[in-house]
Amino acid sequence: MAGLALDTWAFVETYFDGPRRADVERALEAADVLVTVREVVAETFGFIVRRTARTQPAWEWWEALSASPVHVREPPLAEVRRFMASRNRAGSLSLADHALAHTALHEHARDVATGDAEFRAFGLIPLFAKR
Amino acid sequence: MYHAENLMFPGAPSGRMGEVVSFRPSREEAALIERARRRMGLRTRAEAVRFLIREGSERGKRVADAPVFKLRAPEKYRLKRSLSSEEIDEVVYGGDP
Repeated sequence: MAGLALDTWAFVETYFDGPRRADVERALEAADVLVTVREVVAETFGFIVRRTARTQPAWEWWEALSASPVHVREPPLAEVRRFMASRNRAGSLSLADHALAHTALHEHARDVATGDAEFRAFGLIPLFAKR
Repeated sequence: MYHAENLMFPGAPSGRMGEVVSFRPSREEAALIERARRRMGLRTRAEAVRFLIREGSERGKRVADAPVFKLRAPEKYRLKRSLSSEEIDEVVYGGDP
């Protein structure tokens, strides 16, 4: 496996010790390059705050992330918009998903650690999609 | 054999900052260089050596060896099943738009 893009789903699954945690961590270990985007970090941060009703655990999670080998990219939104417009995609993906798909393709990462099957529309492989 | 431009990296011979030196890494150092190359997404091992030197051997080693998301939420927040993207959106954004 070369590059792996990480979606909010993967961060939630690992942080909250979900049933697929071991599978996600195996994929992380096997990847040469781990990449995500700032929007996914913000989504995950928001998820931790809402679920724990505390901000401190979210900052602690971010500190662990920043000390990890995951690269957090910040693609300009205008660039993400141009990318999506060129693909002429409808669907229900979030801004974070769009930014992540754009970054994954830009960095030649075909695999995405996500449960969202819609990533297939970009020629990406959502490793944990059910359908 | 690697060429290094400063001498913070363990295994490099002593010399002055900015001086170009060559060294042959030990097996342990070679493993660290390879981990740093993979983890930082660098093309060559020489780039990984430069990264480790630039970051200083201690921080470089921490980055190369860092486990991914060692931190866990408290036990009471354990998920009983995988969440869907929609459920994550609901929590993040506070309900349906």
